[in-house]
Amino acid sequence: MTDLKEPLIRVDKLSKDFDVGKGFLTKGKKLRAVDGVTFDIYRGETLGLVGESGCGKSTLGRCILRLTEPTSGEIYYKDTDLNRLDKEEMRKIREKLQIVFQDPYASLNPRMTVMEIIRAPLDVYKTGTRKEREEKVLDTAKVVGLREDSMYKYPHEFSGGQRQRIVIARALILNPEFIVCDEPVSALDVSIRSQVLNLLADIQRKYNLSYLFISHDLSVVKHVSDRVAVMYLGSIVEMADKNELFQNPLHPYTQALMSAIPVADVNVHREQICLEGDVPSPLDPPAGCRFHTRCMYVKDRCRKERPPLISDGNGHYTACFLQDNHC
Amino acid sequence: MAEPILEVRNLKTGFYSKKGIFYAVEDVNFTLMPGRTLGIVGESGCGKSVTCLSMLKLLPERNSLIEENSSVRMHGEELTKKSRREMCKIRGNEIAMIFQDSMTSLNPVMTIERQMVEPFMVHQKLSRAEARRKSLDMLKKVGIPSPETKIKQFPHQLSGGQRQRVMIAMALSCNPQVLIADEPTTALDVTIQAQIVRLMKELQEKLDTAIILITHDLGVVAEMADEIMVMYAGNVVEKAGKRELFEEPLHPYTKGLLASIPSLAKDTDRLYTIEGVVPSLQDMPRGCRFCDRCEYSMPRCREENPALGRIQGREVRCFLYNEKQPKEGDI
Amino acid sequence: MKKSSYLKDVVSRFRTHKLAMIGMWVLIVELLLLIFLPEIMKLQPYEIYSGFGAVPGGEHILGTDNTGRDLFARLIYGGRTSMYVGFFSVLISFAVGVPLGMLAGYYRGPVEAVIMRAADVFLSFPSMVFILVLVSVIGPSITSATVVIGIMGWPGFARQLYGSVLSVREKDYIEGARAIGTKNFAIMFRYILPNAFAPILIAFTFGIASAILQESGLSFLGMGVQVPEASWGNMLYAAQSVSIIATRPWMWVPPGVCLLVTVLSINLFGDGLRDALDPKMKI
Repeated sequence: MTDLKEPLIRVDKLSKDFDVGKGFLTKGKKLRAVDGVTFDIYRGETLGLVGESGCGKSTLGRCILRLTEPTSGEIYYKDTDLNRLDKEEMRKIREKLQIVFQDPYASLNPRMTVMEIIRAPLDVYKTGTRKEREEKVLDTAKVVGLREDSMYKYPHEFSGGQRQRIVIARALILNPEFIVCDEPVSALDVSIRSQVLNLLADIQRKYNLSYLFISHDLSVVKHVSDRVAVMYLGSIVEMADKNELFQNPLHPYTQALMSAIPVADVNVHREQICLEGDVPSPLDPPAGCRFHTRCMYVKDRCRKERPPLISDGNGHYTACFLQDNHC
Repeated sequence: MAEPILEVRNLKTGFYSKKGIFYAVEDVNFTLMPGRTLGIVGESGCGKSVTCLSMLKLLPERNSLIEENSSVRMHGEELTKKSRREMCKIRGNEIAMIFQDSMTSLNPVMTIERQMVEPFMVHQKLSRAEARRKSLDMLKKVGIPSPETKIKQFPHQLSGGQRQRVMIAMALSCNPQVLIADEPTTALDVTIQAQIVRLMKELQEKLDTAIILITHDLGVVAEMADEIMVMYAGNVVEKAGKRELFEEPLHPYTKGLLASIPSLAKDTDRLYTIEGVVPSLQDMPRGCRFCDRCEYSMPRCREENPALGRIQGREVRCFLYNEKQPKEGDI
Repeated sequence: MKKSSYLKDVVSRFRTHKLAMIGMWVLIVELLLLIFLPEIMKLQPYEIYSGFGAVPGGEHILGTDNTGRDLFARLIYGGRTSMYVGFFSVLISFAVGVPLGMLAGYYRGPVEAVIMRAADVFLSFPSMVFILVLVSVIGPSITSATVVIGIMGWPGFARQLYGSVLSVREKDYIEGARAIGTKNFAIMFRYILPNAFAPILIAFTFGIASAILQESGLSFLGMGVQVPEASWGNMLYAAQSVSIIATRPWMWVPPGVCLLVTVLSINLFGDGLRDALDPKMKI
């Protein structure tokens, strides 16, 4: 965290609705995938975003880059409101905002060579001569640990970890400032995972990048993040500094989530909070606090009102009435 | 303790291809005791699923073979020599299996009831009404809320966690002695995963089922297994009790694996990495299969593949621990 | 630079497909004959010789027709016509259908609605009747047959491509392309088309076979290629009467067999191509 005062990315009350089951003649339902999310990401910082499947974390990541158009809210990159940009302006600013996807098997065009894939961003922005571009590709490939002789191979000739390196090289070549990492290691084998995580950490340090690191794996998020936000059914329920959040989780959902992770250590004995039931469908979310159907501390107020995300003054945000009472 | 339920000796399974036979699993030995859980851990392609599929003879005969001297004994009865028909009776009845993906393992066009009732009627020759009553019992046991309504629904109407519960109910419906769980929680969310792990532990205590748990998740193994077998590129590289394995891993691969996962308990700046990638089945190194990625590799490791040797009541396949190695094959 | 191993795979899979290989060789031999035979043998398909209705043998290998034109020469020239019409009409369908299918699949929404409903409308016409009407309006000739058959064929291509585009556009690498700021046009042709092309290529081969049949049908009804120009269809048309069918089989058997062999070979080739391009797509 080099510059705390000025956020690189500022997301304000961002929401995204999907129309579900809407046909030619039928009127569909509204699915609120992201619901009024607000946060900042500073330069050189990693914000971890955890949550279970369907909580809207991937949609949020895509909305920030406007790969999915948000329904409402604002996204600022430095001083630019991305939502106000027209297509061409947005296209130009994409240089600075990149994304790494979860599945390295699906995120590379199978009909392009590695060279063409990594060079594609340069071709788009028409930077330099072809020769200069190819040199830049080789440089970047070296940074992510790809061998020069693999440049003219096709993606299917590589293993998952190598493919993820290609994806990272493509994201890196335009010298971006912000990268959304959407579950970048979930599809990889355990022994490959640490290689990719280290690579992401190295390039972050080298180029002073900011990450939004989306994952369902708490131990990975804890490792890579500076701050962590926990999402449940479309909204952030808790956000704090990494160590603060892991040592002192305040929201009952965060507490349950942490106690549920299986730990590869036989000497750790924990009191497990086992949540009953399933995550409610986002098509038909519960009224009041979204978590009240599974919360062990539920009170009457939780069923009627939604708790706002409130800071404790030290950058620990919680959306829970329990905290409200303490204050 | 009582006599073992399942004994696997020298299991070796290969697949035919244009360029000859490739062995996906070699020299796998283990013994399973009633009421115990054996965890098989390894990365994709290490042969952990193939091991279980070949035990049940579920691999297509068209392109795979199980070597002659492989032996899988259940209560002393040899399974590898059984016919297709006899195996059918054993599967589901004495050995049951649950898979990772509950959406594709359940038939999407049949109600839960029709899918659950069938094994009761086939294996235990119950009437439809009785079978239905038993199915409801099972659903209650695995903690499905309002089983009377859920049993009439189709798989897609249930949540992922509920489907996995149904799968477990179906697998346990005939009181199998062995339950093979192939990545049972991988597709589930953390909070749901915790529910399923707890459920499987409770049911095991109640029914005294032996479980073979296949997973890549070291955390899940640490929670569930009694004994752990680590596989790498078709070989068992280490086998030990859970506590011993996590406290003092011996094989360099196991060490690396444990060191490379980020830990919640302590902060590390950099993660340990095992460099390189798993060798492909088509070109396995002549010597130890891990030698190209191993920090401790010696010239000898490139020449011959170490046998699984015993040391302090556990087994490890590495020259670091058993210099006076017996010839391969006798353990 | 290394050659794409994908292409190598395709070729090696195609080679194992025996019937397809037979189909391919038959087509190659046939094409060579159609191209070079007229030059070598100095065939005169339009020249009227003295003896009309001659029996095969001697100067005229397959005899002559009712006006005295050499039937063998006409068979070869008829083959040229069939191939010409088959290839170019499918090219027209392709040129119209592919961009429309791409636009419909990529942009969705109103564009999709307009294009795909238009395709539905086209497909719900009884095509032969419609072609007959159109040809009779513009007047029968090789060109009009080609154009009309071609235009009637576009909905097939559009639908085929539309389907593949729908599945390809959801892939992460399309989103990845968008994330690096690639323009829509480039995404369509650099990212989507190469990955959605296999089914179109297959449709192209099958399209040729069916266009050849349509042309023959048209000519057989007298609305296609007009005498004196030759086509297999109008050779059959000339041999329609019962007496010819019964007594002079050399007038209709050779064009019929040629038609059958050609269409069959193209279809076998297409089958092999389909299996080779996409081993999972077996229908």
